[in-house]
Amino acid sequence: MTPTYAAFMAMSAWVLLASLYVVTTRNVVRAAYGLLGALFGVAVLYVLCSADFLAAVQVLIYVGGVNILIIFGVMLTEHMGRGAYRLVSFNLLPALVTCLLIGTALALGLWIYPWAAAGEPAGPTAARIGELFLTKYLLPFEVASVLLLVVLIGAVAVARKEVRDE
Amino acid sequence: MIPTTHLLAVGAAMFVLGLFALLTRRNAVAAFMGIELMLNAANLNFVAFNQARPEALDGQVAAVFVIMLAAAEFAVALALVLSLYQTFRSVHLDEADEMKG
Repeated sequence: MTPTYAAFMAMSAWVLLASLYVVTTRNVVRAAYGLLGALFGVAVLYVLCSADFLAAVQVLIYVGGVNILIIFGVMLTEHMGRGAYRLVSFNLLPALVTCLLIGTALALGLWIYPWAAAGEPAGPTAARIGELFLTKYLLPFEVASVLLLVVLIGAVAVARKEVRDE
Repeated sequence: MIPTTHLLAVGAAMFVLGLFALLTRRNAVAAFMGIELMLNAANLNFVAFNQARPEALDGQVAAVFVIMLAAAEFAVALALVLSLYQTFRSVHLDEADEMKG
């Protein structure tokens, strides 16, 4: 067992435990912090797969952006002391059956299909990813920037309080 | 060197956990946390597939696009949750049962 593989085992155990905590805890703030741990763990998994640029993006956008937004979402909606922090599970049994079926299907696919073996990692990735964005993936890149503009305007339009002048 | 199948197994487990959160949570924000877990599981799979051809990097570019879409999606989701809260004074998904704003 190489050190990389040992680190991979430890980090995947950490990610799965944090995900399990997100799924099972009854407190939505604790779930947000569990998600923070899981997302950091995924960033470490990216480093172990020698995806350095992706790990940096994961920390910047997920941990720094999305998770802060989630915590804002919790704080702006639920009031403390109202008992509204409790996350009551409903339709537990159908959800369990669905997850078991899909998990079995994924495990079977994992087991049956001959997946390609991993090659040797090829150095730092940031420069070549940037090059791909400006050559092969130029159109998706531009569409993505337009989408972000639309989202920026749309989010403000949806979330603002409606002001009617009468 | 991490075997591809092991990464895929972690991704599959994470996906199922996220799906479970999405199906059982009442709170809209907690349901979105399940979606984030599922998106991360998909990203992990992209990185695992990228390992088969490390010099091509197509999987990692796809993963960057997924991260960007997830951030955009959550911004819209937060706006929707806030507007839901203004209408119903609650973010419980089973209480928001009418389309009229």
